[in-house]
Amino acid sequence: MNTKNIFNLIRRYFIESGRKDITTFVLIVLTITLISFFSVSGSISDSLMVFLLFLMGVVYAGRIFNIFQPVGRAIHYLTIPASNIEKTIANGILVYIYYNILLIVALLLGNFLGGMAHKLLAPEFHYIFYMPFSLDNLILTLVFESIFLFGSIYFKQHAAIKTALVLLAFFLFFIILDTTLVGSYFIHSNPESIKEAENVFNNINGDLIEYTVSILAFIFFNFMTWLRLRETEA
Amino acid sequence: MIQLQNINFSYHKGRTIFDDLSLSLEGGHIYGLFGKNGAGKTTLLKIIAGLRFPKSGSSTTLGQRAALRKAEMLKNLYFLQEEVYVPAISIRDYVKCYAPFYENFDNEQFEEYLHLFEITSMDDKLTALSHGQRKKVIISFALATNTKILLMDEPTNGLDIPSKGIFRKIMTMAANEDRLILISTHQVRDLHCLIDAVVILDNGHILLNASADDITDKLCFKITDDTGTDEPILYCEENLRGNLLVTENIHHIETKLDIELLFNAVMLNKERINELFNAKN
Repeated sequence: MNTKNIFNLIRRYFIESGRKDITTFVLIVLTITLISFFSVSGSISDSLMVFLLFLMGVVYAGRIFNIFQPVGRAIHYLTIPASNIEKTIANGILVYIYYNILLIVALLLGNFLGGMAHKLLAPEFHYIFYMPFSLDNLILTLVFESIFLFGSIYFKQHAAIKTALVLLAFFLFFIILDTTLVGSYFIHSNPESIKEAENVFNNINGDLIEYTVSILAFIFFNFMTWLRLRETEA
Repeated sequence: MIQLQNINFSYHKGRTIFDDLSLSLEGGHIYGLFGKNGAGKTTLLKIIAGLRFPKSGSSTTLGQRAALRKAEMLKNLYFLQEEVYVPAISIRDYVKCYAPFYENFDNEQFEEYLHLFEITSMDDKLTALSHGQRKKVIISFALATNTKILLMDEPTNGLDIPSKGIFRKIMTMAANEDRLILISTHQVRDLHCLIDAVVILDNGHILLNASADDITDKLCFKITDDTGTDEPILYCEENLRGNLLVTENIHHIETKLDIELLFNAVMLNKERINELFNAKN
């Protein structure tokens, strides 16, 4: 693996798409400024903004490869002198680091501008500078982005939408399975065994399991992305 | 430089494109790759570049398995497509983007080729250029990368008449003893004087893979008023100048290779050509 190739791939991205990203950044900042300005209490707007940014992050990840249409574009991309792993890493850096930083900066800037504008019109308003991101949010975002990154190389057209639909189908299946199994357990078990099961669940370190599963899923989907790129033909 | 061994290839639901195809190409030549429509010329170029994977057999380019598309291989290979893809950036930015990937890229050469093609502004957006102009830019870039292998799919399609002459001129400038240039084309007249080796594809096999010298050593291309000759005639075509003939070169007469006549002669006399050139396929 050659870091120079990764650098050149990222540089290529900025030369080709930098202006588009600046426009997107300005639009996000303006949107968040408006949401922030018109919202009185923080809670609803915070969740809305975080959800919007999460959505933008996964859509960006779901479009990052975008090489299949037209075929000439695929040939052009696949013959760039960098290995498949270097191309996967370069896109990973763009999705997981660059774009998330861009979104967080846009959120903070929009929030700040909205708050300041509010304060100018209503001096009694106390602007609170806040960071509505937690480690849990960030990990969840990275996992979803890794799934959408895989989707962007797996699906040839409308990758982000198709990945979202597959995820939706998966969660629906999971909910149905979960409801059926748990429901059946509670119906057929006596109160003592239910209490015993509750104790077992209470003793489990939920955070540790969540983090472990998230990290494994993140690694798995990035590995799958690399494998899929390796076997992509044009 | 390029070794294809016992390649079998077919598209998912389609007919077989290559059936046990083997081919070896060496540096220092400009190969012309010819075949009828659908013979698999573009597919062959794609297999060499690692863009298509054969069902069986091995494809080695510059000592590497082509399908792995390793950076070391891609640094020394440029694939010029028939319909060139260009991003929405200026020529200057295109060079900034892609030249760093090619260690031997020569900016002076690039500018010289552009100048010959009469493209004067480096600040023109590629997507704003006509198809022919885009092609001129990408041809100039491809040649300036100085890669060991240059694969060109119908490079003169879309070029105007003066540009085809300029193309031949810069191709001559760019060719050297180490470089392998493989040109797939139907426009044989455009590249007639450039090509020094010929590869003809038909029905999934290589019918002919020979140097121009070898061909003119074994075959004779001539124009006569009648078809009276003691040499076996492989192909005859009437036109206003007389009869265009391809015969076996029994008397070792030195004639000039005519690729179009050669192609027709090969298509009509597959077995005899195989015997004459001892082709393995």
